[in-house]
Amino acid sequence: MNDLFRTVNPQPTSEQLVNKYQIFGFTRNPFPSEASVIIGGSDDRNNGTIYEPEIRTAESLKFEKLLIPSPSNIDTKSVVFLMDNATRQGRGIGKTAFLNYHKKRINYDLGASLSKGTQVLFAVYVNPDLKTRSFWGISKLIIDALIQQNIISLAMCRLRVIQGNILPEHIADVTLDNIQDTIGNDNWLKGKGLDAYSINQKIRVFLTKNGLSSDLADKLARFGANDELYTYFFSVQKDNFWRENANNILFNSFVKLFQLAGFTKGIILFDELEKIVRPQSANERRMFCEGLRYYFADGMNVQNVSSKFFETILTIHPYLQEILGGYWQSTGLERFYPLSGEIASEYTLFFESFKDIHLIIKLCAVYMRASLPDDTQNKADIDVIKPFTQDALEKAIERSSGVPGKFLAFLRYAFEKASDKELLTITGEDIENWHIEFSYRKDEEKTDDSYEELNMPQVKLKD
Amino acid sequence: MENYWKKPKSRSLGVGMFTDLRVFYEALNLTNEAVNISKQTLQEELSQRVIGNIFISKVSDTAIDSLLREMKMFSWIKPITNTNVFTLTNEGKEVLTSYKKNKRHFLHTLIKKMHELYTIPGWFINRLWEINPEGQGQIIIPSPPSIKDWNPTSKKWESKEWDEVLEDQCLKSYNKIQKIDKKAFPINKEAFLKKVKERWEHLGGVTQKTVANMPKSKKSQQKDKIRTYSQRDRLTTAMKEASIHLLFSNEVPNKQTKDFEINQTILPPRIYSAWCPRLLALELIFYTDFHPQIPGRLIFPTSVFRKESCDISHFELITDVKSPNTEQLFLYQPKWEAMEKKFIEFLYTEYRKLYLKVNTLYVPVQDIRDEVCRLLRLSAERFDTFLATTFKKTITNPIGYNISLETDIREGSNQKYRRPILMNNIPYTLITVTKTQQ
Repeated sequence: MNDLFRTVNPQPTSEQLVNKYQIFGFTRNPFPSEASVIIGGSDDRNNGTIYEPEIRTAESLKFEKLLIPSPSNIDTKSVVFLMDNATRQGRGIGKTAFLNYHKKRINYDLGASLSKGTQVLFAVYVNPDLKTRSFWGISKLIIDALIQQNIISLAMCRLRVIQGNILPEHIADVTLDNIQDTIGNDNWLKGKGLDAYSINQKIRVFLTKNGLSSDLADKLARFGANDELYTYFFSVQKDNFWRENANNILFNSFVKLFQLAGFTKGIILFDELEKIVRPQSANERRMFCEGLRYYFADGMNVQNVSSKFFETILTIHPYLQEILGGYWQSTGLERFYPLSGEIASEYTLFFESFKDIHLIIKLCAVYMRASLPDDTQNKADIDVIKPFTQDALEKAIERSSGVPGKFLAFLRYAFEKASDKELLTITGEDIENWHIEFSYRKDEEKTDDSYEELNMPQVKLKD
Repeated sequence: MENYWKKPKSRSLGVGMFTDLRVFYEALNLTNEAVNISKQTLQEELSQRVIGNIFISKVSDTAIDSLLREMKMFSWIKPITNTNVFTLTNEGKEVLTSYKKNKRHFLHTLIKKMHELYTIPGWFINRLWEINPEGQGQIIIPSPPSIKDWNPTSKKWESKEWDEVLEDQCLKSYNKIQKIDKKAFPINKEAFLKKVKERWEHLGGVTQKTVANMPKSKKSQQKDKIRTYSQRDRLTTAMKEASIHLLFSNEVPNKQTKDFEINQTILPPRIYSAWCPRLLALELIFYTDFHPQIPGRLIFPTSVFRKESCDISHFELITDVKSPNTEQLFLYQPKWEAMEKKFIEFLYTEYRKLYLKVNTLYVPVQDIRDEVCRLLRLSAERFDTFLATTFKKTITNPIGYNISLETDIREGSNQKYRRPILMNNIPYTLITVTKTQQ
């Protein structure tokens, strides 16, 4: 073959890779290469697949208490906060991984087990881009997420089943993974002897009768059940359209849609609110608070308000509290969803840094287990932290100020160094020496409050 | 009976006109070679000097005047009557000879002469030690927070009132210094603020200096002139003046004792500014305005008053400079052999710390120098010498380290205002220190 036209397999096979981690018994460096979770990425070290729920048990319980309605927990809230308390600026504590885990947990059975069968829930994860500052912009972001994460298509498929009187035997083998190719696919329906066209018509009429605009109802009916909605509806609208309609679509039309599709609550997991709030001007911050109040708390003729459909958890940290506090109070949001002060702790899920060595070991172990060769015996039982000693892990978490993101990044570095030097054990002393070289201060903003004490002089001129 | 410092024979006029003490030597040398020399000739002949990284080609009129005045007061030169030329005195000739034989001796002579004339050198060192004995005389003269955190616009001359913004900035620096090294500025917060405010108001009352052009108004054809001042500059000056007043008055801070019998202002701010570079050149102190952790000027003595019987192997005695309680002045001059290992280790450690912070291979050598000198209490000259020796060693006699030096001014840095290090008369501003591969 002429070299000019050669192609290669993008992922080298494990035989091709030189495995320098073999001396420890691993197939690769067990720890993530990126500083934060990349949802949808292909590397399971980075994309949130590897997760140990036991290290955040308390936080998970609080999460359920705040947001998941069940027979023993009817009083859930509409707006709650996830507060990164470990650092003032909020970096690397594990919030995204946590939210991702709970999203999967809720969505896999639509909240059946969590709510003890009393609710039909979905969870959508929203992470802002860098240019959104307005409230309609936020609504647009959420709509985008709802479409891209297949919540809309799920709702439409449910409607198809309800409206189209599709029999249970047809849907027996439908799963979350194949739903778009089955219920959502007109040809598949035809194959089952169902008239896709008339089902869509029925849905369109049904939606219009229930208050959605005829244009939206039409688009949803035609493209909503599969991934065409993004192409044919979402991406063709100009900013002006969203400015005028985003809020209404999200908080009225979509709420109605979800309710008609049988959902009882929708949970919006809103990550990194600071990306929106920080660049905002004073006026924009005020508008944000007012929008939040109108569409969640007490706006007139807002379907979301009357039905309390959406629940959202906003990810913040102490610095954001400082920025938003004033506006939160002056727009009256403080009465509905306290942001600061004593009562706020009821509405807040606190994320603290790690100090418990047993949790650290669990965290370490879950990563390392995932990088053992496939044929390892009793993989699930191994609580392996080799080649690290317990002392090494303790020092590492201490040097990382109890922040998991920094901790894992440092472990990756330490692992690389150990494999380069062919050390079979990594001790606490190694950790201390290497950490001096491993600097993580690049992305920490030094504020005016930062200071370092001066070291003492090393000579004495006078006794 | 109280022991006082001798009243200065001369006010410190003209001190600070030049800080390179080689000027004295050059002037003596030129006068000696010419036998008789006029002021103009001397001025022209004095070689190019380096200040910071800016070369100046001529010693200014005021500088030459003050140089000649000083040398006269030292009794090193005398004018020839009825002419406008000078010649060396016998003492001047002796001093010149001694410089050629032993440069250290010349430095000692200068210190002695200046102390005898002005009293300030010895008194200043003693005062530093009295302000912060535990900290070995280390003090900080506060400045406003860094320009990144506070960069206000100019104000009209008329709006000169003290306000909360100024107080806030003042407090920020004060609090930071208290956290970093509170003994280095042992002044009560209220007293400090009060004094700064007083100085601020005083500075607002003098005749304005800056005159700015206002944009052309639509009505008039003429450009109106409005008088403005820089808030930042004025606050810096006010804080400096307040600190000097509180730390360097006749009374020792926080004590009732007086240093001079007659109450007088020993160290007006301008005199302080003039003396600092000279004291540094005399190797009595080290100071820097650009320590990354400190908002202000850091000063510490590299000399000390002690009883003679102490172990003086690392010190040079300056005879005839005594404190009122008869202690002698010693310059801290550690020998190379004793310092060799420590020096390179400290150099490397500080380099690594800074490298990890700024993430560039070449870092400002001044930052390294400032901290190494502070930790090892070295004078600037000692540092330059040690660095030169170490540098040579890394080439001739590998010691496990590589040092590279460059001369360059980084964009947007404060480097052009800082003294470079001098090695073989070449200034350097950037350094790397790496361990060689084993």
